[in-house]
Amino acid sequence: MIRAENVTKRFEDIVAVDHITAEIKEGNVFGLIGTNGSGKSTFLRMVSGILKPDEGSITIDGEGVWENPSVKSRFFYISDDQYFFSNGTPEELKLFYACIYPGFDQKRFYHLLGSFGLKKDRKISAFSKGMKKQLSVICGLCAGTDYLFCDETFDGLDPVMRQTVKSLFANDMAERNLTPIIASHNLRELEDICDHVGLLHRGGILLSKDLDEMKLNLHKIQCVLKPGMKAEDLKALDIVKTEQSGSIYTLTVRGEEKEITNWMESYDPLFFEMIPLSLEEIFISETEVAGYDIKSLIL
Amino acid sequence: MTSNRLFFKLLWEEIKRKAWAAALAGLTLFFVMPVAFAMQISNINDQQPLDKIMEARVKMAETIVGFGTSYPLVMIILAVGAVILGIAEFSYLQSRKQVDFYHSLPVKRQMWFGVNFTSGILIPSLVYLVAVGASLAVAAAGKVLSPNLIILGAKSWLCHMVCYVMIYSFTVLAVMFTGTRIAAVLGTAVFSLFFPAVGALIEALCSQSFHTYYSTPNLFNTLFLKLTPGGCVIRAMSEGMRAGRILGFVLGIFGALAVSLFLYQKRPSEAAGKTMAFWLPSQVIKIMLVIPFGLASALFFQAMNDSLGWGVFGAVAGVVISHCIIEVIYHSDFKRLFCHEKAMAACMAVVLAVLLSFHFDVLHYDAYLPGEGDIQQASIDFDMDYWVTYNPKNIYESGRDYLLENGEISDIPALLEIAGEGIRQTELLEKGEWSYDNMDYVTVCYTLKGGRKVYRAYRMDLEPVIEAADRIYTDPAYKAVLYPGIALDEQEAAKNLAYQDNGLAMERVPGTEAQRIAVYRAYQEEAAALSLSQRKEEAPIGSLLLISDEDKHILDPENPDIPVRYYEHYRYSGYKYPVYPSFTKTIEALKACGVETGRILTGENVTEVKVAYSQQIEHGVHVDSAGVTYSQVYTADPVIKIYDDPDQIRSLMEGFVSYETNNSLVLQEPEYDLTVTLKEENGEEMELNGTFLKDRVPDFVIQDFEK
Repeated sequence: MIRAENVTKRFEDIVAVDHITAEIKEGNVFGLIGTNGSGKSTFLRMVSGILKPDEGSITIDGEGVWENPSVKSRFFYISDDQYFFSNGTPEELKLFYACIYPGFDQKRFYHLLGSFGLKKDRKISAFSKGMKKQLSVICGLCAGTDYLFCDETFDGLDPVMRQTVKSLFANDMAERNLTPIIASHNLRELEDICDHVGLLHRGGILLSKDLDEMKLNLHKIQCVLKPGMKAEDLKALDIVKTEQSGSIYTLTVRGEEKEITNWMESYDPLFFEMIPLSLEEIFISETEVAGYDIKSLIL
Repeated sequence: MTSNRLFFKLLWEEIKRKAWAAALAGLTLFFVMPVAFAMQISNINDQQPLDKIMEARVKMAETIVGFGTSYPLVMIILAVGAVILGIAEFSYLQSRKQVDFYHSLPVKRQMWFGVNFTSGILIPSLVYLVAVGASLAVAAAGKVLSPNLIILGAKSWLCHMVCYVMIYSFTVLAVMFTGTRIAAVLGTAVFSLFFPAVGALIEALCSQSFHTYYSTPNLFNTLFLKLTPGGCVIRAMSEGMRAGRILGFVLGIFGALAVSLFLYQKRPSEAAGKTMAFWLPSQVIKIMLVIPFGLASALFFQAMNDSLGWGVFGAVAGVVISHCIIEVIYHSDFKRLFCHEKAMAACMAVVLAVLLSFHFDVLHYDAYLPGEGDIQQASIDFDMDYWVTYNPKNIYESGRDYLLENGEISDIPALLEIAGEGIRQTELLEKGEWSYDNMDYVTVCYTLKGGRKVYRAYRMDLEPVIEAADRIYTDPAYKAVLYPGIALDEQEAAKNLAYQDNGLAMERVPGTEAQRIAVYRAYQEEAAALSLSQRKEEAPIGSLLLISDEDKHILDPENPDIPVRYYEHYRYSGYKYPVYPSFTKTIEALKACGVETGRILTGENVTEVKVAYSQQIEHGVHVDSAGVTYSQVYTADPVIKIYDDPDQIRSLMEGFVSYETNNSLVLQEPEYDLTVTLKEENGEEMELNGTFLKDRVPDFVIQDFEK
């Protein structure tokens, strides 16, 4: 488990990360959401041991990360703008990582290179942005570490590649308990992969919750009520948000699904159905409760 | 994986990535060493005897593989490589991408430092070793390879590499302070030149502000040679790499290394891309640069316009400009030009305070005169015998420093009297009441109790204190230092003794050894007793060559038993001691050896004398920018008369003084120029230029020109 306790980082007058406390459990995909300048990269760089926190501590299974090679050997960091050796090739990169990460899977590296259509002796400087991202992901997966920190890694990938990478992550999570931590400003991109999300804004953490937990307790109902009935009449329901379009109500309701279904049936509407909430909608609801206008925070 | 294994693996990876540096260094050294050597061998004239050819090859081989100033190209290449690699190896610290990459990996920062630092040394050392090996192979092909040459090559490799690592270490230190490549280059330049530049600035300030300032040792040279890596290397190359020097280098290297490692560990990753990595050192460095720049600017404007007002303007402008430039560089933002204005104001105040305190001599530098009880020893130079050679390895070296270092005098009250008069005349100079006429240049050195040395130089007329000056000048111990020629082993001096009459060739002094020793002893006595007052009255009639065997060999190692005519070469002029007409004992002793002196004064070999008279038609008094008056002579075109009558020639030569005489004190007639044509025994003619001694112009000459 990665534990950040009261972590703060300042760059001159700017507080990039402001007293963040968070836990990242093993075996879950942790999504770090936030706009540009919210502190995602700074937080990840501190977790990776690149930046030293001005206050607080970051530990992995109880051991500090800073200048601790034994702890750092348990994760692989993919930067938003990854560095590659000038005039280097994937083969040379593999040799370099292999001497640093003893568990580096060289066979799998070649296999994945082939799968992604990347040539091992071609200069990386000739790769496109997306190809470089793919190479970074391949190196990260083959390093055999317990954690994989990805800073806006999916940005440069096409939709097909995105799905491929997600399925690779899922595969490694199942096989060897890999724990990816993915920072992004794009909620939709993380929707179908994250188990736990943390929302950063202006250096602080607004919320950190399990996605399932959020989805369990929040539902969207589309319904048409009996003539004369209004949404306010559904007093048994804990309605978080109401939208009306003609006679169709779209209600965001907090509570268990079965209980809500029972109550709706008891009100005998003309029509109702439960529709899935997107991550974005969940966030909007949660943050509006917290008093923030999420639309102004996230694309 | 153990740390050692990881270290060597990472080192190997790093070396692979720096293959370009190895290729560049290898290519350059290849052409500079084995190729150059092979070319030189092929250029040897093979018509020479074989032993000469082999000797030449051996010498070439020793030059190419050796360490020293005879072939500095190797060290220059290594020095440039040290700066390039020092910056290249740690340039990743200046890129956020690279910092993120390296510092996220499970490798301690010390190991990254060690890997990169080692790589930057290993690459050139191996390449240079190969170049030395290739040069030795060329030597083998030229049949001059020997165990001595191999040992020389190995020692030189070590010496060169120690120098390389010194420069490399300080370049790495500069990189640790900075965050961009340009700043790293500038930082390296600051390390190399800051202290010598400040030394030069202090010297310039003192020279401009103080009339009695004497610079020794030269601050710029001293600081450059002792406090900069490049200077230390130059000294090592010129003076040799002794054990003590190697130890000094090693200490310097480890010092730089320790500080660099400390800074590396303390360096925040977010410093990548910023001009300076640490805030506090950046402010200190800014102040260290702004103040000297402000002072330099003040000096420049003050010198251009000779006005304190312009100096103040220069100080303000220099501080503002340098401060603003540095702030822009630090922040990479032109709009941050005037930030930290309080620091700028403080620097300006310091610069103005320094400038004004120098200008008004707040500390009374020019009026310094120690008490007799404060002086442990003292020395003086009257600047009258600048022709003497004290160092045969550098005949152009000023004798003043040698005299001040070695010419300890016993009559301290006399020296203080002279210095006191010098201070008085300096004060008049300051008020503009003195003139440059009859100015001598007197330098004194006080070694105070406690060991501190204080130097002062006075432009002064010695006449008011001529007695005190004579007391010092005639002190036998002082004269023995002033004239090393009179302190030789008498047998050696007698063996090498030669005499040159003015205008004639130098000849060995004939006679027995006892007779030559008698000449030397007589000269010792009379030269020791020679006073400044005496020198004003008479001009030398000839000169005695007084030289030791060692100096003779150093000056001309090719010909240890050189014929006497070679002694006329300019290298020996510093060993030709003047013989004055009053040196009667010396003249008699020379006569006993069969040497006639003062022949030219009899007009014996003179065929004609051309006298040019330039009448002084206007005597102007000029006041220079410092407010000092000096006289300016405007002369008419010269009128020339030629005398060839033997009686007239004899009269002319009685008052003749050659311009080549080693006596700048003798009073002369400045309006007359004489060209004396001499006929040598072999029939060749030569000319001697000179003038008349003061008040010794023959009446007929005066009358002739009056017509």
